[in-house]
Parts: sequence; structure tokens; C-alpha cells
Amino acid sequence: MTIDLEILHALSEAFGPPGDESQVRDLLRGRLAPLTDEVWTDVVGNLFALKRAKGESRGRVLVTAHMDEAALMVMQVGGDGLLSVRAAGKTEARGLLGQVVHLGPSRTPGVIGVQPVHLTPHERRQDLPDLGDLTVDIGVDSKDEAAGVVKRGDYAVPAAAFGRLGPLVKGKALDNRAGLVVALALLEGDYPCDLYIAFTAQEGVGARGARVAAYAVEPDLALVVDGVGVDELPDEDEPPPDVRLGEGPVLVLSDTRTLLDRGLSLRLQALAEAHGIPYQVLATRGETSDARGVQAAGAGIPTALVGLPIRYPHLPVSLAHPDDLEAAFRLLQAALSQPG
Amino acid sequence: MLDLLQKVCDAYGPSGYEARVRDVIRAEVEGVVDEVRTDRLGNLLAIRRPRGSGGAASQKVLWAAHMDEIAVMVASIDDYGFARVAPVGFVNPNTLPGARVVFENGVEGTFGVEGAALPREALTLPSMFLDVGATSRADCPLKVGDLGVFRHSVVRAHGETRVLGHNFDDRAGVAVLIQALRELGDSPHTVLAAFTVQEEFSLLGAAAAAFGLEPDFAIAIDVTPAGDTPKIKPRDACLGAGPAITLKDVAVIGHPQVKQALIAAAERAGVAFQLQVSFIGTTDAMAIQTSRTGVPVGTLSLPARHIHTPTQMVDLNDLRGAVEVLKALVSS
Repeated sequence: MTIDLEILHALSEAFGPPGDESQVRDLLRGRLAPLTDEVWTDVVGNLFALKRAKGESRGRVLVTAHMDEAALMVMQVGGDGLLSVRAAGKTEARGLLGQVVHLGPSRTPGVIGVQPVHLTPHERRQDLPDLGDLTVDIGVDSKDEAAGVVKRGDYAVPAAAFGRLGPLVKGKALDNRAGLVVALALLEGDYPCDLYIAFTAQEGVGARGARVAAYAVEPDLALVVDGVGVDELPDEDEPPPDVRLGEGPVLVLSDTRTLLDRGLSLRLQALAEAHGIPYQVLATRGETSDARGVQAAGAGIPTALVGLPIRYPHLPVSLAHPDDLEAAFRLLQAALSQPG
Repeated sequence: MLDLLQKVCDAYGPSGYEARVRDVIRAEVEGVVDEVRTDRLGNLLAIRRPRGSGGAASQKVLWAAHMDEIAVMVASIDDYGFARVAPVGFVNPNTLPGARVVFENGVEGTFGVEGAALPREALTLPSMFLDVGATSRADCPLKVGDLGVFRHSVVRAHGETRVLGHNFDDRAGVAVLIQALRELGDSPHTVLAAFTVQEEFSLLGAAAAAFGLEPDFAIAIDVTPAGDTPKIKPRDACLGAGPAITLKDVAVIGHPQVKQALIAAAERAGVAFQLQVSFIGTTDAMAIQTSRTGVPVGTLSLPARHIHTPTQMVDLNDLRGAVEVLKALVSS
């Protein structure tokens, strides 16, 4: 297997909310030097790696994968020392109840408190709180005590540890730290095109990093590697899931804001067939990705989305199948070997 | 004009998959303009450079009409061969029973409603299925991602100029643009005609075209809901009363100078026109307006009844009027 689960371990546990991806960026940058011709960053926080074509270049290909993860931001420190928060990125309240998070530069641990069930009136026991109603408890009793530890604007991310779960891996932020590992593996190869990899910032708040990255690189085509949520929980009222874990990368054809390039998506399907690489096709989904920013940059860029199936994305612990990462890597490698 | 309208309306071209309609349009404008090319996202760009002697200072004028049409995309196929679909562009589920859907491979089908042979309730897409007559998943000729468009035929309704058709949004605008290019006389200006992709979905095509072409000002040519059917207010953009100069829609306030230029052009051409403030939707002008450091835009609208349904109505006189306005706009 080409996919390095040790790097995935380190990246999954790294602190990287949208707008503060520096720890993730530093981990990646340390790995890039021996593999690339040039490495640089931009003002948004994107990290770029360029690997020039072996022989004459047949064009410029951009691969993007976002570094940021679903996070929280501290909005207010209450008089009782409890912190109120809001979402930074694609965070949802459902998975956070009772979880441990790490806060701010000091990585201070905090607990997202929930009222004990026996103290909750019957009629409110089924209620699902809004994110704005959650508080983070860092074990202090007053605003003054909290002041030395955290401050307004600090980020919080889940504290989940990376590990194996049967054939799968578990950890936080597998969407899209898994994508970073796949993109990183591509740099080991030689291709007949100039390969630009953009490890992007701020995907979760509107694909902001991807847009400026694509504008700067001006590629002939772009391949976005990103997590794609799969829902395999049983529900007899629903048809079976369109995509599953372990059945290969997901070629996403559209989302709420993006129609991916048809020719490029078909070419990737044909390449997968020719190389015997498993893949899945998803017509549409309710979540956007970096593809939205890349496609609309400058005078437009033909873009495809190669999705990595992730179970429980944007929750404190998500699951992924290493075989999917490997298959996505092989498919991207095949595409880069025949860039047009 | 009806022949041209039929030709462009019958070409398959859902958002993101506009290759066939692009080929049809290309054949119509090749030889008429100085340069025809397709950009990386699939916009067809037809460029007419200045002709004749002198006149006003030369400007680059962008005319944009979108090639794409609303559609449904196959999301999954069940064991019995029925397909579930996702909308591409605004599709009203209540218009789907009885609609004829055609796919790129020629397969045709229509919609049914779960648990109802004769649906009477307001409908939602998740409760509906596309039926192409398949007997099982293996027998179904569709794949996930296939796009179906709505098709009937483009025919005259009552009278000489009222026409029924399936996708006047925005093939009526496409036909106007083609006809204006054909009839264009001498002009000191460069006309950049963009037949854009993905308007119904994201305005992506117009944004890329405007960035690439860098116009001095731009006009979007698109349909607008006609205000002359029962109980619709305000009563504006009436069918057959001439093209509408849309001063504001939900996302765009037209540039005052472009508005004045359109009004002056209509008066010069001697064609009837209407002024309209629209409360529904927007056009390619929205994306063009914010390209690079900004582009002054205007919207020339073709009144259309029953838009975003499988059968729409326009009046050929409005299309003809729009052609005259566009020609006059660049004549001096």
C-alpha cells in the first residue's frame, strides 16, 4: 500500500480549523521538500507544491485537498467561566454533546456539557440543542479564571484519537486529512505534466483558499480530492445508499452549487475501468467542496471531484477505509500519467 | 425566426452538458462572425469585430444568452427499474406528472408519484420516480448521472406569433442572439456574443466568459415571467408588447447608462418596448456585473408565460423587437 497511515495519524490529530491551518501546513511542509521542485505558501494560508513534468510538459494539472476541519470558535466567556461557541466550518451540534475538545493555542481541554437526563424535564429530554446553546466547560468557575486560559476568538476542535477499527481507520477530520495523504502520495511519482498540488485553507467557510489557489496556478484542469459523506445507517424507509465505504473513490457529478466537468468525469471513469480500479458515481449531494471555488476561478477551469468515502464526516470521530484511499491514489496517478 | 427557434429548442443541452446545443449554435454563427471559439468551461464565444468606417469610440460589448436548460439528473435506480432524480436548475415537482423527459441516448420517460395512481396533493421530488418502462435495475437503460430534459414540440399557438415550446428559457434568447448577429450591419464596436453554460445552475459560465472577454459593458438576453395572466401583479412584461428592459431583478440593478443606451436603441429602431422591475429570479447579468473590476450591465428580457414548466409560451414579435434593439445598440 502506498498510503501512509502514520502520516494520516499525525494529520488527523493535528489542530486545523478554517483560518488557522498552520499545524497541518507545517506537518505537510516537512514532507514536501525531497519530493518537489518548489514549495510556497500564499496569504490565505494555502500550501503549494510543484513537481515539474518529466520530459516535455503536456500541460499544467492542479490537485487540491483542503487542510481545514470542522471546528468551533469561542464567542463569549460567561461570568460562570463557561464558554459559548459558534460553528467555524461544517460543524454540527448533534455529534458534540458530551465530547472533549481542544481549545486555542494552548490546546486546553474542555468538555461540551449536557444537562443530566434525570434533571431534565420529561418533555425536553428528546430536544436536540442548537449549536448556539452549547457551552464548553474548561473547569473554571469565573470569567477571571478563564481569562488566563482562553479568549474570545479561540478555536476548538474535537480531541478524538486516531486508531484502527477492524479494516477501517477512525479519527477526527478524516474529511479531508485523508485527502491530504492521497495528494501527498502523488508527489512520489513522475508525470508528463507539471503537477501543482494546493493544500488549501478555509474550505469549510466557502472554498476560499481553493479559489485563490486556482486563480494563481491557472491550470489546464483541476482534480479536487475531498471527503464525501456516506450514510449507511439502516433506514427501511429510504432506498439503499448510493455510495459505500470500501467500494472505491466517489466521482461526484454535482452538488448544490457545482456541476463538475462532464468530459473529465467520464475520462476518470474510463481510466478506472481500464486499470481495474473500483469507483462509485454520485449524481448529487447536499454539500459543497473546493470544486466550487476552483471551477469558477478566473476564466474557468475544467474540474472533477474525486471523493473519498467518509462515514460520519464533520463529527468528532469519522471512519474511512484505507482501500478507498489507495484506489483514489491509483486513479489520480492514472489521470496524471495521461493528462489530456 | 420560428425555424431557427425550433432548431435551437430541439437541441439537447441541460446545464453542464451543453455540447449538442453548442454544435447547433456554432453551425448557425460560423461564417457570420469573425471568430468562433469554445472556452474551457464550454461557453461558445462568437466575436464580430468593428466593420465600416469610424463613428463613435469603439467599445467591447458582451451579449450573453445561456444555452443550458433545466433538467433532472438520475441519482439512483431501484430494483424495479424506476429512477430517482435530482433537479438541475429550478424544477417545480408539480409540473412533472405527464411531462415527457428525454435523455441524451434517446431514452424517454415520465414521472409517477409514490403510492398514488392519480396524485391530488402538492408534490415533492423525493416522493416521485421517473419511469422509462424498464422492468428491473438491469433492464434500465439509464445510469446514475444521466440528464433528462423536458420535450414536447415547438409549435404555433393561436395567432401568427404566439408559440409554445419546452425550453424558451433561454433558447428564445439564443435565437435572438443568433438572428442579431446575422443581421448586424456596420458597427464601430466589437460584439462579443457569449452562449453561456450553467446559467440555470450557478451562473458559472457567464462569470468565466466575462472574465475571459473583458467587455466594456454587457447585456444579458433572457426570458422574464410575463405579467399578463390572470391575477398576476404587477401587469408588466406583457406578451407581445415588445422586449422588456429589466431595470432591476432580485440580484441586479442595471447600470443607468446601459439602461439609457437600451432605451435609446429601442427608440432609434422604432420598436415597442416595456420597462420592467422583476421580483423573480436573475440572469447571467448578475455574474457578469462582478467580473474583474466590475462591468456595467443591462438586461433585455423576452416575456414568457409558464417558464420553468415543460410547456412555455413566447411571442415572436417580442423576439423580433429584441433583435432590432440589439442591432441598434451597436449601430453607432
